[in-house]
Amino acid sequence: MERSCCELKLEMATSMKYYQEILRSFGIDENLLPIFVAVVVIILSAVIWRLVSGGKSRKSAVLLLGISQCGKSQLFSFLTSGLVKDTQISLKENEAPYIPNEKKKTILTMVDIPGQESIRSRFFDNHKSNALGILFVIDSEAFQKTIKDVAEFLFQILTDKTVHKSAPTLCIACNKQDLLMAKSKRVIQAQLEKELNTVRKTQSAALTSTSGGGNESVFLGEKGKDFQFQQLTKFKVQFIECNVKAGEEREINVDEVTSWIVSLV
Amino acid sequence: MLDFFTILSKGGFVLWCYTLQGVKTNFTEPINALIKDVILQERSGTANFVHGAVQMKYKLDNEYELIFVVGYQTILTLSYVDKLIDDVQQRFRDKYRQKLLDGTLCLLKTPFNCASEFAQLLKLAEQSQVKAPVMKTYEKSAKSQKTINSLKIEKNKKETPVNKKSKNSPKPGQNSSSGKSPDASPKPRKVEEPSDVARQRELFIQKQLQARSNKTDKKKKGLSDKSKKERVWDNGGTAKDAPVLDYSSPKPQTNGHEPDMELVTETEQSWVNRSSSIQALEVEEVETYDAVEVQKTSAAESDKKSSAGLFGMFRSLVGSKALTKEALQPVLDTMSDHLIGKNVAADIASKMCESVATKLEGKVLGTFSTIAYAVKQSLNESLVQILTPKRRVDILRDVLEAQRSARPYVVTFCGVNGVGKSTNLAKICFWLMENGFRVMIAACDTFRAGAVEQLRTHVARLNALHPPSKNNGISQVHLYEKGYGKDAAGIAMQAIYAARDQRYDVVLVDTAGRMQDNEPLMRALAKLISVNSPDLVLFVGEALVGNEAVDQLVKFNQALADHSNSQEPRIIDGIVLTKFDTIDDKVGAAISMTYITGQPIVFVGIGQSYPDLRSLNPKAVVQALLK
Repeated sequence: MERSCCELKLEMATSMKYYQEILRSFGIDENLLPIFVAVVVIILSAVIWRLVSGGKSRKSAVLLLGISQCGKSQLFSFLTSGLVKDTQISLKENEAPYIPNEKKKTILTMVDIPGQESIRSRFFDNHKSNALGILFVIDSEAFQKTIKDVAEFLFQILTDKTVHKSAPTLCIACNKQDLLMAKSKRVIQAQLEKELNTVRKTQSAALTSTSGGGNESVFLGEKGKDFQFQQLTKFKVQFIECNVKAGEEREINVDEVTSWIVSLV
Repeated sequence: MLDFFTILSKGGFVLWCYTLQGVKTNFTEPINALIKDVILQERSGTANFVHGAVQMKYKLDNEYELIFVVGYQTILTLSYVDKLIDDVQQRFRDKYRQKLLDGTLCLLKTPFNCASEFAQLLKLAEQSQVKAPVMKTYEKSAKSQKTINSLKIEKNKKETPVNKKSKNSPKPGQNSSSGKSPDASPKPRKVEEPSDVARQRELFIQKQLQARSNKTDKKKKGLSDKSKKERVWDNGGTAKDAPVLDYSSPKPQTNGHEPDMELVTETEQSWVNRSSSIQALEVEEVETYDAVEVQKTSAAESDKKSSAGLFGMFRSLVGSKALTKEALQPVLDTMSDHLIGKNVAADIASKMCESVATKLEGKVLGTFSTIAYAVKQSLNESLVQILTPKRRVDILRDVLEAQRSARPYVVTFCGVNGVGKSTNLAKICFWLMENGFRVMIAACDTFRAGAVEQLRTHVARLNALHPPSKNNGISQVHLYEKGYGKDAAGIAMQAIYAARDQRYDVVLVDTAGRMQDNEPLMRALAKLISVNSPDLVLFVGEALVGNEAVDQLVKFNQALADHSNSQEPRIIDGIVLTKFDTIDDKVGAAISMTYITGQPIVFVGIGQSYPDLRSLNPKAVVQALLK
């Protein structure tokens, strides 16, 4: 026992000497050895930690965003459970697992963020860094009335720095297509582009806030040009139509939404 | 009787609902209004809300994230509603406990049905309501229980006060006359009177003698009491209790474990009771400690119990404990004091804390979080929520919209004296001009000397900053003035017409400062606003104000509502918070003002020069507030 211990010590001593020689050959002072070792350990542990944590928090959330009462929770309910539920204004987010493709076995998290203006930023901030895809829901029937609010929220999302960093895929779902007066996705896209152009102008002129912190937003689109969704290089934006309730001549239709989610994986 | 009873998840799903006779009434809209106006506005202290003809009561279940809402016609007064909500909550929780904990997906898939239970509870509640007003029969009353004997005793007792009265009289000779006095006894009894009087006299004399002897006794006692006596402690126990309290020798286990367990829980309970007077946070600790102790002893006793005991021990260690109102109260009190210290109006602070209490009550805390932390977190969220505007605030966008329809965008400023209406009007004017809008200022302060001249100076300076020569010779800002002593509403109207003709984009109406109690001036302001119907009515308030903020805003709003002739009176729909640079971190006025009006703070003035205008950053303000 003692002998083996001594042998080990001897071995270590010889190996130490060996390392010192190597270091000397590189022109590094042997007194710096502990520092050198410490640095190597730190770097290694950092890399390992990165790998481990990176593997854990891989983006897996599909965020359902949109202004209040545009049908987010209903869409959420239908997508996750296949049931159409009556809903009220949400006070907190809903989360549920979602399996887009039986074969691939990847599990996404569907997150339904409340649309009320006073609370939505809080929940959005919590989830935005984890977003793989953003499903922005629009009430196609009340679009004309709510266009300013829709555009402002969409502007916030598109110019958010964290969102830019994580660069999720964006899908704009024109919901409630079952209703008679619902606008088509083409009209909505054109009007949104126009409105976002205006919002870009007004928001850039808005006052700075009291804290005096730097403006945490990115310029939307290209400077000197009218805004178009094609100008967004970071995001892929896609417009789709859907309806969660059956109308007079329409069945429930969320095929485009599900195929979009499948395309995320 | 009830229109509807709904159980919602906080995520917004209707889990189960009852409607009157199965009629599908539209309760979506009133409940949405309730959520928007009460719960999201942090007015949860009052669990009562009227929307149209429907009155609603609600309860939050924070442990399972549920909302129970009941609605009924406002004209009905149903006293059983509160109890009904509690009962249904209890029943619902018991029935679906497992499902409720299993996440949203389970919530969606479970077909919640408690119609039969609800019908039963409702019936019970309604019966209790019907029963209440029925009068008691004589047999049921306390009076019927009295026997004749008891009545007699009553009589004797009644007579003694009479004697006492006569005791006050100095001469003993007058005693006899008390019996003869007319109010002593009615005439038919006169036959018995002599004996009666004699008896009374005897009684009286006896009493007096007794009183005297008592006095002397007392004196004697007073002397004798000087000697030392052993003090008896209230909860100390005596020698008699010693065998019960003696735990040194093991107890003979005659009846198995049952009595022993009982004893343990008893002592535990006595601990709990005694420690209830200490601060709640400590009570919590003591309780968990006790629980662990109890589990340990029981674990030593039997194997079967040890597994449950261990589990219980872990549970108590992990601390899955629901918050109670009592536990929250001390923390909330300190929080309330802290807020008041930061210049939040006193009743607003207490209302906020109430709201936080309802939000937290029943919530299960995590292992390592303390109540203070939970309260602070929740308060932080609530405050940010209040300060975050509930609607879109983008004045430039709205000005563009007005520009498109070829009409000027009208903003009216109002407020009490000396808060900086004109100064901030000039700052906002500068900001609008920077964005390329043409502005007309209407000098509607026709009261204070120098008010028009002040604006004239501002306009001259602004015109110098944005000279007409740069804009094709068109002046960017113009002052519309009609001197002093005129009707302000008329001047504002003329200014708006002039702005429309001359293609100005924005009209800023400066009004005279007025105290909220000055009725004629408030009436004039209401007239100005109802006649001109501006796009935006801004209340200018200084950040220095404390409790006064509540009074100012409430009365301004009230005056605007009272003196308006229209169906839907215009009230304040935005706040300008001035002198924000003078208050350091006492930013409470921002909270008070937004809480009362529910309207956003549109601008914040932070200095004397034109660019010293900011928008509010809710998170920064709340951080300063909770520091």
